Amino acid sequence: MPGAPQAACPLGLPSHPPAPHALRAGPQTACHLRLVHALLQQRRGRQSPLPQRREIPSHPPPGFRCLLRRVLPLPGFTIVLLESIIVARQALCRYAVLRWSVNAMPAYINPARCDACSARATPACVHICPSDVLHFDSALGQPVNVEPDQCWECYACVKACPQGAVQVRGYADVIPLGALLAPRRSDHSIAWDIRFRSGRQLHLEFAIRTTTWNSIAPFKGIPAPTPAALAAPRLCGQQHFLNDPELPASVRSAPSAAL
Amino acid sequence: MVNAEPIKVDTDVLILGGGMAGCGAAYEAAYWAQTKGLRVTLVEKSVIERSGAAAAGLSAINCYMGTKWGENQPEDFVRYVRRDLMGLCREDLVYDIARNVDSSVHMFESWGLPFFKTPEGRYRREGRWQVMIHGESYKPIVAEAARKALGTENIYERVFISHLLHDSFDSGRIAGAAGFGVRDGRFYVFRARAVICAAGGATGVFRPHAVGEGLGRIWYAPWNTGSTYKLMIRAGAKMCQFEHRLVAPRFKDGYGAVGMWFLLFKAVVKNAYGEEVEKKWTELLKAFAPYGTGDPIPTPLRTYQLLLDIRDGKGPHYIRTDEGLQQLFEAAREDATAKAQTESDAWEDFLDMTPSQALLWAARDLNPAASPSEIVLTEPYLVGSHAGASGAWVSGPEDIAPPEYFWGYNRMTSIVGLFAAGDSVGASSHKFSSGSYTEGRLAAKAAVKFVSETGAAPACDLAAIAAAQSEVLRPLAVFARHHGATTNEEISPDYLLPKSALQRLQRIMDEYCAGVSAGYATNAPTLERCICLLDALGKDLAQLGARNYHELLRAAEVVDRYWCAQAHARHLLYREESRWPGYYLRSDFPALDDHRWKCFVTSRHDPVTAAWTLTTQPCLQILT
Repeated sequence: MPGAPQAACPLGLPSHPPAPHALRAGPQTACHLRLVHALLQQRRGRQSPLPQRREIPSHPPPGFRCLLRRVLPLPGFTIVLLESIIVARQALCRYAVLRWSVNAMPAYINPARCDACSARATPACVHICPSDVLHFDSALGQPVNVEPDQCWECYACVKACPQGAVQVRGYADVIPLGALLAPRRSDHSIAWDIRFRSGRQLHLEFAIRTTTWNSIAPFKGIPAPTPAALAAPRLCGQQHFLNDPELPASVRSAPSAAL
Repeated sequence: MVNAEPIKVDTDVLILGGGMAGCGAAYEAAYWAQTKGLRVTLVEKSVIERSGAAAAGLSAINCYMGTKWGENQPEDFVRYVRRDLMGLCREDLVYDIARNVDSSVHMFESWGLPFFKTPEGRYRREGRWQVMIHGESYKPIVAEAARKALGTENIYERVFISHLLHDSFDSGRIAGAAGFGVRDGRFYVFRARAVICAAGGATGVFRPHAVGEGLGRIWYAPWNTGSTYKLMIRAGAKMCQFEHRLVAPRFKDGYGAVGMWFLLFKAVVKNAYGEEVEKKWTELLKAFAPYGTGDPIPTPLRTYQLLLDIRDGKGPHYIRTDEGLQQLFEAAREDATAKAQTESDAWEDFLDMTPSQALLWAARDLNPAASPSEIVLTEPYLVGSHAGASGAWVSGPEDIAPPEYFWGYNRMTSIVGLFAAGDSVGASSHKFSSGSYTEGRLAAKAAVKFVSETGAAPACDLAAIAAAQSEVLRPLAVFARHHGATTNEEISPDYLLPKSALQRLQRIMDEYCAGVSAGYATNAPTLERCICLLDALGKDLAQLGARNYHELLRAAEVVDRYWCAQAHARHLLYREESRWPGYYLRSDFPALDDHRWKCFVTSRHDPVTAAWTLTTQPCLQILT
């Protein structure tokens, strides 16, 4: 893709796919290489047989996963693969690639549950992410965490997802595998299901709000501002909210240079 | 897209950042703007429901006086902050927050934020200044009020502000701001009569502890990249206390906060040999009298005690959550409900605020009532709202500030019409969420007053707008021009990707500017070397390349952090003493020196000559 990125697909494609030798050799690597090769061939409009479903291991070899993670911040490689997949309409390969790529990020999307918030303009997780690491991948049709190492694990996306499709796999370089925090936020409380690595379960529930959402009337009961009040130090509605008719006494005294 | 026509927005009061301070500013500005029919606009690079440092929620409000119940007076708070800052505190600014903050907190409760209450109906205290909340939805609640006060149509989200704009006839007067849509690259120009900077502190200036994915798991939000400081520095505003950084003890790896554990659960820090760190290093506090003596121990000295024990080779260090909770269980005796409640409170502290820390506990099968957790010192941060004091040098409130600290309007910077709040204001720390919100309100009211008292709207210089547009979108053009010249886009002699630039910046700061790997120590020659390396990096930033709009955002954020680093290194070099030894040590001036340095340090970067000027300002004591 020469030139500046296009608005429709802001994720730039790399000019070349990664070299096959970037994949660490392993017993299953040959199959993955065949898959990559076949997909790239299909993208160029050439026929190339895809591996059989039973040949594709349920997990990618370590090198493949590292490679995916390394290229995820520049999701071009993933897109090359996924575009090809769509062209090929090979659901089994799509499934396999998705299965591998979702393992490679702190906040991640479960493709089996995610409906990309089809009723909304933007998926809820993409809308809310404060770090802007969740992007809608138009080729994939689902959101992807494009920059795992800038995820704060704030759980804003997990809480926002209406399908329960977003989860956090703790930072790979820090947090052991096997635990899960599953929050369910309702109008007045949040319930957390905590699964320990040992399998122990802990269920906790906390209040989040005492009033109805969208019920705030910001200036209700507060007199309209006047020019005289604008000149005075008191803030909006302070008499009402401070429960005190006056501000505390001013501390003005002769200032003296310390020491 | 690079040369597309900018989207122009005209407004009266422009608020940059929609975190706690920005939402406070939005609420207050919208109220006072009614008097004159003024327009108020807020710009946020994310969405305000989960933006800023309170995105995950908070388990406590750390700045609440309780004057309603006679718990504290604002004066008490000023004395506390002054001591925690080792004497250097703008008392007028802190007092102004303290006398107003309770009204903000009461407002939050009326909007629906749930508080822990005592049987008498008071807020349950975690510490003298802290009250406990069920705060998972703290930010969405505060954002709802701001959104309703302002009107959604006046909130521009996913827009990153990269430049402040001067009046074309007066370089000392603000005229607006400019930036780009982070998901479409569109260039925006906001023309305004007053601008409020409220865009958070600076993280990621230093190399974090983590090496991989965990780079994002730092104490303060990784999206707080120092935009607010960069904007003001580049506009030529006077900044202060950029040497007064923050290094804090935190739960290791998860960066969970320690406040509730220290204050409520009475957990102490012990080394691997069972020695209590605070007791072991009591003697050293005397060298820092009058600040080191008395209770509580100032944050930089508490940090220093832990640092010395780490250097003493007595790690790992543990926060004894187990001992703290067991003591509480014993006090509860046979009351199973009370025990369960205590355990629930302990988990809620993290689930409400740092869920990743709770995930770490679960992944390690850790029960905080049975096992301690490791504690670590963080990498340095530049903040103005917590226990660091970096930010703009601003005017104080008219009825309190001495003449040296007053120039026309509360919270106005040295640039006419440019205001600041929250992390953006220096020398007045310990605002936390509620104080930052309150300061946003104070700045907004002053900004409305400023606009209503000043005449014609300023004019933006078209050439300056074009230059800003070209500069901020340049990484796209740089990449487009050169990307074909390499088979690996990450290796190019023609451009630097944002991640590489960030790594270089973080390494320079870590090694030369008293980062973790340097043991938080540096000296004049090392800092001079630091500035030299930063200057070289600055030249390379002109060659930042971005492959897409997301990287364009990251490129702009590296530029934010670069300017923070420049200011920080220069301030460290200027102040020839070690006033906050837990934050950093000047090994060539290892002692606190009240005789020479009981004063503020301010800096100004001249936008025309690019020269930095550092000077001191008097530290005036207003309260006895």
